[in-house]
Amino acid sequence: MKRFSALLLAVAGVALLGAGTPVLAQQTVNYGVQPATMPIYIARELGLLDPIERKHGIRVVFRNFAYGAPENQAMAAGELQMASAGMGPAIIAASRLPSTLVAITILEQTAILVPKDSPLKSVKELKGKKVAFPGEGSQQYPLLLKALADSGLKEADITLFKTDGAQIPTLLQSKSVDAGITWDPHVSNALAAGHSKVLIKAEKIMPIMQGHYIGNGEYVHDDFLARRPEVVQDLVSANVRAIDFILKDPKAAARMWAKQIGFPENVINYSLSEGISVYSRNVVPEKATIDAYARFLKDAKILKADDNPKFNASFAQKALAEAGK
Amino acid sequence: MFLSRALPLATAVVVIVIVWQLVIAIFRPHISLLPPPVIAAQEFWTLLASGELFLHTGTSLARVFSAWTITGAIAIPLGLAMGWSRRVERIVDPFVEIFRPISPLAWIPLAILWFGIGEAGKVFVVCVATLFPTLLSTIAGVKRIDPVLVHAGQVLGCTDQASLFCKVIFPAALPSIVVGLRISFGTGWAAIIAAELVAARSGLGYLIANGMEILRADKVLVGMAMIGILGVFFDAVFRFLHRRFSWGEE
Repeated sequence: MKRFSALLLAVAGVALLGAGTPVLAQQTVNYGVQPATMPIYIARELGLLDPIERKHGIRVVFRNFAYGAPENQAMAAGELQMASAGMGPAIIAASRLPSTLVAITILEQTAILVPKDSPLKSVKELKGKKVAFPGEGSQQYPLLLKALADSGLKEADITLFKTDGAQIPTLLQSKSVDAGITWDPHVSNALAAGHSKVLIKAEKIMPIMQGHYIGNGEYVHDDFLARRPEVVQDLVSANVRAIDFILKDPKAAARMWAKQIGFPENVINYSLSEGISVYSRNVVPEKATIDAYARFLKDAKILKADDNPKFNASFAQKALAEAGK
Repeated sequence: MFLSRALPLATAVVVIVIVWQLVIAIFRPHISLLPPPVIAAQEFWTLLASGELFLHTGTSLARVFSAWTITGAIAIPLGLAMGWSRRVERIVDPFVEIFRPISPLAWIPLAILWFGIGEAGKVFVVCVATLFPTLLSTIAGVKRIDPVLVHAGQVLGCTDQASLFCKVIFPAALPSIVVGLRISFGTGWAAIIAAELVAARSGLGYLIANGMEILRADKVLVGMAMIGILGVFFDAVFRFLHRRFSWGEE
C-alpha cells in the first residue's frame, strides 16, 4: 500500500511538472527557423521584435533547424510556438498537427539545378539520372514529382538520392549527382559559385501565387494561437514590415541576413537580383491557394485524402492593413 | 510446445494494445504523436494490401540475409581457425580488438562514400554489424570443446587434422556457431534499420524515417511492429536450429 501511494505521488508529481511546463514556456516564444532568407531574421535585425517582447513580456528565441521535418517534429512535441518553414512542411504541419498557417512569407525559392556543363536541357532528359533531393517531408519532393509528371516521367524513371538540402550544391559541383532540387540560399549558393545552372525554376512547375510558387510560410501552434493571439498578430505584422524593408532596400537586407545566417552577402544579393527568392507584401494565405497546394500534396501522396490544412488569413490581412497606414 | 511459446507472446501483444489505448485515453496525445491502435492497424492493413509492406520488408530482409551470409562465410572459417590455432589467433586478434568496439553505425558515412547510395553500402554496414558476434561465438565454440572429445576422435580413427576438424571440431562447435549466427542476425537487423535511415528509398528503416518526415506516426508504428514480428519469427527459427544442433546438451 505504501509503495502504491509512493507511486501515485510520483505520478502526480510528474503530472504537475508536465502541467507546469507550458506556463513557464509561455514566457519564451520559441520560433522555429532555418538558415534561409526568412523575413523574421530581418525583423530581428531591424529591432522590430524588441517592442513586441517588451509589450507582451515575452522573449522570442529563434530555434534553428536544418530543414522542415525536424522543425515539425519539434512543433509536434509542443517545443515551438511559431515556426517559419518551406510551404510543404508548413502545410503538412497545418494538416496533421495542432497548428495553423498564418502567412506566406517567401515566393519561389526552389529550383532543379544541374552542373553547368551538363548536357541536360529539360526535365524530360532526367530519365535514368541520379537526382538529389531533401526528403519526402520537404516541398522539393512533390515539386520534383510534379515536374517529372509534367514531362511524362515517373519517380521510378529517376534515381533519387536523399540528402541535406545544403549539401546539394557540393554534390552538383563534384558531379556526384546529375541534378538536384533544393531551396534558397542553397540554390543561389550553387549558381553564384558558377558550377551549376537552373534546369527549371519552381514558378515553371507550379505558379500558384502572383505567378510564382509559394516558398515559405509561418505557422503557429494552436494552443499558443488560442492563448496569445495578440502576440501572433504582432509577429505576423513584424514579418510584413520586414518584407517591406527587403523590397525597399534589398542590399541592406542581404547584409542583415549575411550577419544572421552566416551566408555570403554576394550569394544573397544574387538570390534577390535574380529572383530566386521573391518577396511580396501580400502574405495572405488565400483559400484557393491553400486548397490548390493541399491538392498538390495529396497528389504526391504526402497528405491523406482527408487531411485539411488549417489556415487563418485574418492575421496577415490585419498586418497588411496596419503596414499600409 | 507451440502453445507454451505463443501464449505469452499473445498475452504481451494484448497488454501492449491495452496500455497503448489507456495512454491515449488518459493523455489524449495528438494523432501525429501517437495514433490509436486501430489507426495503426488500418495503416498496417493498407500497406499490406498495397504490397508496400512486403516490398520494404523484403528489401530489408534481402540486405540482412546477403550481409549475414557473406559474414558467415568469412567469420565461421576464420573463427574456427582462430579457435584451433594459437598462431592464427595471435595474428588476427589485434585487428579484431581494434575494429570490434567501433559501432557499425559509425561506418555509415564512410560506407556511402566508398560504396555510394546503392545496396553495397547498406550491406557493408550490416556485414560490420554481423561479423564480430559470429566470429567470437565460433572462436568460443572451438575453445570450449572438451579435450576428451578431441582425444576420443583421434583414438576412434581421426588420424589427420582434416578428418578431426570435420568429424569432431566443427560439429562440437556448431551449437555455439548457431548462437553466434542468431545474435549476429539480431545485430544485423538493428544495423539495417539505421543504415536505411540514410540514403535509402526502400526498406523498413526507410518506412520509419519517411513516416517521421511527413508526420505519419502510424507508418512509423507499422514499421516498428513489422520489425517486432520478424524478430519473434527469426528468433523462433534460430531456437529451433539451436535445439537441432545442440547435441549432447540438455
